[in-house]
Amino acid sequence: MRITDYLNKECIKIPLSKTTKKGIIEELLELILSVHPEIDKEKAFHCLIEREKIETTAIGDYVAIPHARIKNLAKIYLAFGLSENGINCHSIDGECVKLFFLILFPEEEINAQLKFLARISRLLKDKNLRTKLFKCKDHEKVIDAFKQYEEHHFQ
Amino acid sequence: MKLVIIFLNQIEYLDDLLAAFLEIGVPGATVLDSVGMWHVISHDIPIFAGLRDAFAGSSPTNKTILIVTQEDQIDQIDEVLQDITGYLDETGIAKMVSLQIDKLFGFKF
Repeated sequence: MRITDYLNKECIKIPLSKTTKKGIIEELLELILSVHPEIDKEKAFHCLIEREKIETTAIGDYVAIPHARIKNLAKIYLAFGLSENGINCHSIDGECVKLFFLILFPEEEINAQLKFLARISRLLKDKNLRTKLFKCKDHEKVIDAFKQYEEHHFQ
Repeated sequence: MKLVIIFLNQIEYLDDLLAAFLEIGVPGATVLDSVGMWHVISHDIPIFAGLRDAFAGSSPTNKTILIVTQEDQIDQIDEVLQDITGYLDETGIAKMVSLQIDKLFGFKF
């Protein structure tokens, strides 16, 4: 499973314009919906907010991975956004979040969700990759950064 | 000699199980408190917290029982485990493996 298989340019936004966690979740969800209008926005947004209530998805190191499991979703959808100034998301290390990855999972595919979350959270533990992402000015650089990293570390 | 490892998820069977092992002459056992990976993942690693409901049926703790025993006692241990827990009829109750031991040190039988 490669993150680059799920990243596409329409679902990458640099910089993010919203300045709250909820706002950014909505902003990233809109990116996915612009490509996949068949997704029920209300339902997806509700599931994402409900997931945040269980425990924060701001996992530290300036990274947040808001995500949700949604019934009858065709596949996994991913959106990425960079907040240049960072947003206070009550992350586990107390740092502001700059890198946001919003993911929608089909509810029935628990194994795929586990693998995807494990892969992306492990990738983002790497300081070099995070530093590269902080400096990205457009979607191509983001996709390139992930591509290079995954090719190097996950043959 | 063999090492039997039993992963007992339904820990309410533990007392009966150990008593039955004594009856069939199991020479001794070590019982460890343990936690399954799914429970740790969904409860201790924040990014996986959304999967708690998916693993709601898994027990928060389990017991790992280690038994060093003669090869001819393996089937008896399995029978006792089946009689008491019915572990082969239903998933999530217990699992058992046996491993060949190369050398033993400090054991007296």
